[in-house]
Parts: sequence; C-alpha cells; structure tokens
Amino acid sequence: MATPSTQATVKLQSNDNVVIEVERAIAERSVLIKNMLEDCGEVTDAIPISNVNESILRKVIEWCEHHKNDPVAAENENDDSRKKTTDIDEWDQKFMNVDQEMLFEIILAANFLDIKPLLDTGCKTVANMIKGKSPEEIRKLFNIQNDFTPEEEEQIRRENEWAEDR
Amino acid sequence: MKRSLEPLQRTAAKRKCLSAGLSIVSILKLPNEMLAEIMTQIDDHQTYLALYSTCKRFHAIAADPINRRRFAKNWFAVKSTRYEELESASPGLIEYTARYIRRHCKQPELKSCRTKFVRAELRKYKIPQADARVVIGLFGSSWMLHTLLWFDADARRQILRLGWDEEREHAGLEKKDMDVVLRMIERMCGQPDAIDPRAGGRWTVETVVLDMEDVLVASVLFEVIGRGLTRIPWEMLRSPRKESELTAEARVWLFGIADMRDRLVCMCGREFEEE
Repeated sequence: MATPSTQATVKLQSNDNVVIEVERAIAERSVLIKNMLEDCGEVTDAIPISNVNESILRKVIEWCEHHKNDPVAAENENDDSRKKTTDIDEWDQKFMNVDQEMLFEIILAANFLDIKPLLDTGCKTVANMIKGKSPEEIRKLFNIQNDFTPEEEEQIRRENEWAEDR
Repeated sequence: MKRSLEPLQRTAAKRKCLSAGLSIVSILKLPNEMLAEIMTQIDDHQTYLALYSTCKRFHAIAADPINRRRFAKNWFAVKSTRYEELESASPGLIEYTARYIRRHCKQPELKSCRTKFVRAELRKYKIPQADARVVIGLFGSSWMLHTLLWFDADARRQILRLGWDEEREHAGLEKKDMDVVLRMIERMCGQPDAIDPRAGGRWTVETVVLDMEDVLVASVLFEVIGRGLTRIPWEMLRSPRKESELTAEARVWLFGIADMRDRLVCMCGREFEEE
C-alpha cells in the first residue's frame, strides 16, 4: 500500500464497512473531510463515515464528482445569498430523482459531511415537492399522520382563514 | 419518533434499503433545522400556511417567528428577481392584505414583530387599542414604511427631514400616524440601502424585520406599483431636488400612499367604521 507523497486519493469507509477510494479533490467537496485532511495531514487509513451507508456514500461521491469544478463558496458568504432561487440545474434534478428515503438520506449525509450546495439542492427538491399542496396532500406525500384534535385543527383553520382562497 | 411506516406500504426501494440493514428514513426523521431549511425554501405563501395544519411538528416549525421571517426573506428574494412571476403569481394579493387587516382589527392579540412594535407605539400615545380606525391608520403608515425602504437612502433621509405641516393633512394622514412613521423610519434608516427592483436590482432588506404579513403587504406594493395604479412619483423622489420642490413632491408622494391606503379601506368595507 504505497502512498504517494502528495496524496491524490483518500479512502472513505461507509457505515456498512465498504471502502471507497476517491480523488482527494472530490472528497474535499465535503468540508468535514477537507478539515479532517487539513488537520491530520496525510491519512492512509480509510476515513470512517459513520452515518452514511455505501449506496448513499456512492451517490454523494457521484454528486461531488460532477460538481468537483464548481467554485467553492466563500466561507463568509451570507447565508441568504445562496437561496435566491428555487431553480435546480438539470443534472441535479436528475440526480435527485430518487425515492424519498434516498432523498432524505442524501440530505442527512450532505448535512453530516457538510456539503452545503448538495444540502441546498436536496432541500429545494423537497420544497418543490411540497409546493402547491394542501395539508392533506402533504400528509399523503410523506405519510404523515394528522395528530391534531378537531379543536386544534379548527383553531388553525381560523387563524389562517384570512389567507384562504375563497 | 412514534410513527412508523406501514410495512405493507413499503416499496421495493424501501425493501432494498432494509435489506442493506438500514432503517427507513421518512421526512420526520430529519432534524428540525433541516425541516426548517426545507420549509423556508418554499416560495409560495399558501403552501407555507398549509404546513401549519399538516401536523403538530410542522406547525411548530413553520409558526416559529424565526422561520417565518426566513421564509419571508427567501420569498422576497426569489420573487423580487422575477418580476413577471410575481405579477402572475400574486393575483388577489391586495385582497389578502385587506383580509389580513380585517382579521387583526377584530383580533387584538397580534403576533408579528412589526405589529408588536405598532402596539407599543399605540400604548405610548395612549390610544385605546380597540380603536380600529387608528389601527387602519397605522397599517396605512406601515405601507409607507415598506415603500420608504425601497427608495434609496437619500430619499429616506429627505422624507425624514420633513416635519409635520398642515399640507400633509390633505394627504389623509393624521399627525399621530406621521409621528409613528417617522420614528419607524428613523429606526430603519440604519438598514442597508434598498434597490429599485425596476432597474433590475435585488432587494436588500435582509436585516429588516419581515414576516409573512409583511410579505403580503410588500407584494401588494409590487403589484400596485408595477401596474402603474399609483401616483407615487418614483423618478421625482429618486433625484435630489431643492428643498422647496421636495416638500411639494413629497406631498404628492404621500398622497399616492394615502391613495393606496384608501383603496384598502374601500376593500375592507365599512367594518372598520362600525367597530
């Protein structure tokens, strides 16, 4: 296991113990990994990604690979400046065209690995799924139970009444 | 999490996840911060309100004032860069605002931060809070505020310099309204400069306290201004003039605002008068 003097790849280990070797530049789309590599210098062992399983990790790496040449957002960038649009680029739309569980896993992984653009894309995707739906449709979409009592429901309805379409 | 997915409803994909030794991840497995992130990305106020009655957890997150403001800011940022979309997406917003005012006139327990401020002002002036007419006046004034924010800093300063005079009475504003407005403007003058959206600029009202209701009011302004329904002399206000001219112009401008306010009062009907 010879390691080149300038580390070109890193190994990531999913929580189901699969080791995936990726270009360092790609892995560094994750701020978590980037900081880790900066702090530890060369890392020859596989980095355990304890919260992410193989299929999600591969999916995230796929995203990082596609976006490896994207400019990295400045660290002091205002939180709001990255949210000015609900547009998602075409490749990302296809990438996010997965079942709900996978989508949420990707969001969780992006959050854990600190990949903000991926997290944003994931959240926007879910937001777009919700957009235009009624409470009942939202519940159906995500299999959420209505846990309001009829009285509570009536109260919320009254509070929001003013904005309802007549 | 109490809820669990109905096993029979599991799709093949879910089974695949399960066979890989994973638990099923539903949206409710996401932490609140991430749900808030998702909710505040929705750029549609009807849908945002729908989240209130989806389930208790969604309600708590969506109704949180911080998230409401984040939603409002995002809504604003998205819409203000797509004027056409705003125009087509917001029919009836004047009506929404009218209804909003009507609701709050009947229901004194107001919730938004801005309204709290208005209420504090009301107390200062020892105006009975049940005086619906004054509330209308103040809401009329808050329209001014929003408009003022959208002018450049110069215009705001110019407005600030204007004292109270008889003439303004003709614009349909009472002195106490004007005083409140001036105080609010003073407070907000420290905010970053606003940009005229018609020039292709983007709003920079990030630090202004906005929430859902503010957005509705703001969008009405968009609509009214966009359709040229108002007499607000944008150009006049944007270029510095001599003091004497300014007063006259400002009067016209204030009249334009009053005009919009009247429009609202008309839409709200006689309810206010009776209360």
